[in-house]
Amino acid sequence: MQNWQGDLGAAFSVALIALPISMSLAMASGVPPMAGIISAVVGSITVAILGGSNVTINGPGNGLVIVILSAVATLGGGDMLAGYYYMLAAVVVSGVIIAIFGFLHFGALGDFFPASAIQGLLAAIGVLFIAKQFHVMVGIPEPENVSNIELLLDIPFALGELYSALIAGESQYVAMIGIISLLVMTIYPKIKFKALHTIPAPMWVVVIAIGFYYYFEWFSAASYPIDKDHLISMPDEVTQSIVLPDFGKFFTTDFFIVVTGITLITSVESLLSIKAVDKLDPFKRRSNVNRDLKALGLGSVLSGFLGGLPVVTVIARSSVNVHNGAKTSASNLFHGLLLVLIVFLLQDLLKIIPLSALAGILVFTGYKLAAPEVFMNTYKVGKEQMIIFMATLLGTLIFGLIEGIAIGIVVTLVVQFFLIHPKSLALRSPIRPNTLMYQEEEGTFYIGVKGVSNFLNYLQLKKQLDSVPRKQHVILDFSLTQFVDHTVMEHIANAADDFRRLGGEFETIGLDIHNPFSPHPFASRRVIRLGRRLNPGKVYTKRQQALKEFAGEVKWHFVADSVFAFRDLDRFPLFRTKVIDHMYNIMEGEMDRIRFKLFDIEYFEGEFIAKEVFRSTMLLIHINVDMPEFTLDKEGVFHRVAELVGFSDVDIKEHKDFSKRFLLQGDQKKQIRKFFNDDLVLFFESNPYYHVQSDGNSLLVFKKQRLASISEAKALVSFGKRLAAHIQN
Amino acid sequence: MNNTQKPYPFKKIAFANAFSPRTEALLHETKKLAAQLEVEELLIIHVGERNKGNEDRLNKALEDVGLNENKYRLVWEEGDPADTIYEVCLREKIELLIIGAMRREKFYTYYLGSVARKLSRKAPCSVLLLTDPKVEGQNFKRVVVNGLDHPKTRSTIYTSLYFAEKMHSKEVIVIEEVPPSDINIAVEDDLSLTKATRVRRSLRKRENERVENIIKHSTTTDGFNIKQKCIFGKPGYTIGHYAEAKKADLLVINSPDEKLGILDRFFPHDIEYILSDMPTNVLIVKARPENMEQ
Repeated sequence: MQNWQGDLGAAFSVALIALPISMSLAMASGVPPMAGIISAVVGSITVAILGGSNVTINGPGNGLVIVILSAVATLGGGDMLAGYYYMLAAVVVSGVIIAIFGFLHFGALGDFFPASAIQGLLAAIGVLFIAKQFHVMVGIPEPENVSNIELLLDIPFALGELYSALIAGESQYVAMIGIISLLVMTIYPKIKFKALHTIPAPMWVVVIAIGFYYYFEWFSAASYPIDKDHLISMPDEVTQSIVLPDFGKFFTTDFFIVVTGITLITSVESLLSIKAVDKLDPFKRRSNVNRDLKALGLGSVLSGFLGGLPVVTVIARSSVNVHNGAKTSASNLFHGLLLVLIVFLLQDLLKIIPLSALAGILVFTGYKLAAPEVFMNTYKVGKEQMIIFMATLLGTLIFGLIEGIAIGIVVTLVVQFFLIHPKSLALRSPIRPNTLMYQEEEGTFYIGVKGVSNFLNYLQLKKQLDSVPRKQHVILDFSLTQFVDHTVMEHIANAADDFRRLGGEFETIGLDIHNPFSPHPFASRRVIRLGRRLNPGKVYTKRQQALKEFAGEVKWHFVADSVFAFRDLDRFPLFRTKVIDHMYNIMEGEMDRIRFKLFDIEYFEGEFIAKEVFRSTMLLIHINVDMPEFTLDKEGVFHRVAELVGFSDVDIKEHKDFSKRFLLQGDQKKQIRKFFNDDLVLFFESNPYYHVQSDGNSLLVFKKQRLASISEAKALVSFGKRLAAHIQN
Repeated sequence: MNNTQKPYPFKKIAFANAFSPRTEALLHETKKLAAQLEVEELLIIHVGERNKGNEDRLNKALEDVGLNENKYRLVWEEGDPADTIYEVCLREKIELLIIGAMRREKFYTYYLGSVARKLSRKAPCSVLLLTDPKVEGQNFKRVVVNGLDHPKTRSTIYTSLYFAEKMHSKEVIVIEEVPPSDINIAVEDDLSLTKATRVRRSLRKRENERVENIIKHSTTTDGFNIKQKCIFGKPGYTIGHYAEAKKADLLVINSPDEKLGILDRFFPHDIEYILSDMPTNVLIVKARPENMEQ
């Protein structure tokens, strides 16, 4: 409560938005405008007190409008009022289910849906807003009993009708208010004048509408030109808005379908919003989504019993909340209380607001959800994502929300089935575990993913990621995956942000061996089969970008493409028994006449069907000093390599400890003993362990039989530089 | 504890032959293994029609590899391959059965034939599945072994140490797989994460102590490093993924507990994950009831 002033200020701004938005959403849903306000008041108070998040705002949500509208129509069988009471019962039941979701820890469910299907769903909701509200905005009666698509196609005719009415000399005040409302919403963000921004855009719409009324009331001789049918309908007393649900249709199929729709959309919209708002949290707190679900469920139950819409966590109002200085859930509570205050004080004013003003707000919201950029962005991620997006969009428009999202999931599965090789992998991946996590050393966690990594099995990866404290270092290895989809790419980018924001480190390795389907950083990708040349026009992964930046910092040269010539590596003991397939991500440069080359390499042992593939990151150092041939190893790891080339162990008698810790092998024992003088021995003893080989002229340094993360690559180069300087002096 | 009847020392081993392009490499492997394990008797089991053509083919293969008739005994039978091999192993009191696994060429993944699959589930003895037989022989440098909290585990770990010593391995890693459900705390926010992390730490300590206690009593720990690693994940799956990620040369696991049915193929558990992925060579250790822990 220390920040109550900040929270109260934020709550005030949010309440000003929530008032018109809640009423418009209720209106668009085909229920009394007060139903939206009740949802905002009840929801915010319940979730603020019982929920598990900090700076979110609750109230009626965009996504539900379409579900509620069709629910009211089907349950009421044409009688909108009866439908409203039946719908309230569905809100109560879905609230109970959502609370149960919370108790069952279903909070992770929000991550289950394919990203492009969610995008398609949101775009469909946007299109539906425009289709349903455009006629209201311009005050032209909409054609009856038509499908959503026909309604959308009727918009030009509505405009034509408006035009001919104007030509005929009729004043179109309803359309005027509606279009002014739309203009205010559109232009508002572009105006930089600060004083204007003390009141949010939707409230300006309300202010202008009320001003319009008082113009006629006080200055004009004419009476208020807008018919009662085009005004918000409010009961004489606000308290009359509170009505009880009717459970009369409880045992019907329609009721069941409505409950499913409300439950699905409420939970998904809320979970997505909570995740997005967490990123804005000034104190970097993590919301307890399951606790939030329980509170949201209870909120819906109470809201339904009082005549309100379902309670959702909403992203737009929440971000206004954060940007206006909210720091605790108190602002959510204040916003609810302020709404009550405003409604009681201003109830007479609210009754004079034309519906077209609110419709203008909704048409704008719809446009934001289905703007051309949304289509463009999806297309940039990949053509296959566009198929999923369009299928979900059209499916939702034609059949409805639940059908739409189901179509989105099915199309995603089919598209991925075509992209994944081998097909058996695609079939069995959803029911198999695919992640491995262990602590590599204190503070560093290795997480490996295998086979297919897509939206269906992302929850496994998410569980592992969630169980790592955010201050730690995570290395996420995709080198055993054949396919990584767009949803996972997006989620791991979010997870990476999360770790960095909270002071941890997050590195992804093994994605360089995949070919993305588009240059977008979140594009789905599939492994490049062995021996095939890497796509030269390929887009850089994060790791490659970081390597390039690193190369820039040390003034080296970076090339990502594969190289198939390895003359300088052939003479190293390691590669006498192994065949190099290719090297890539090559970073080259010079320092004090010593040449360095850092590269990722793919090599294998055996031939054809018995082939075993290895990937590693190595540093090659050309030093202008004659050295004996040797391999230096920690006891054990690469022992056999040296044995095969006929090397034998070399002990340095003066340094027992060194000989105990390291395994030094070679032919030219005398030269080796001379080369490993006190200085060099001390250098190796006092530095972290690396495997070092010499072919007489050059050194090959590496650490692990897997690709190095960026920090490991940097450490490798730093070690190599110091070693080379040491030897040259 | 009764140590009189261990699964090893593998004095009597058998190789189950099926003609394939890899027969030669597998015979080389068998020969090398027999030498390294200092076996007393080597059986070559072949199930199939006994005719001149097949006989010549097998004899030639054995000759090419340098296996003389006094070094092995040929058991040639007809019938259902899996059942027949099972019968022979039981009758001859075989201690270790060697079988080859196959590899999908295009994707570099291995799979088991139906006979090998059946035998690895129900063989009366330990089974060594070779994914990648080489003419020059395997080098079992890095051995990964399960350290599950299970009565068979002690016997499996000792067998792996014995095998590692015989094969001049460099490293044996004992993996203690702990199902995440043991943590019993759902990570929902910072507080529950802190709690879960604490529980993980104490579980890790408990697991490490348990396995340490087993290793401590082993006599064969020379010549290689023994490491322990506690991993939270689905038992049976995690260890296979680990072996693959770490490029292990051999994965040693307990034999499965009960007979596995057709459902297990579709809802794999424990050994099934390993059998369907074949991350590397696999040794399935058949413990005898008398040296299991109570």
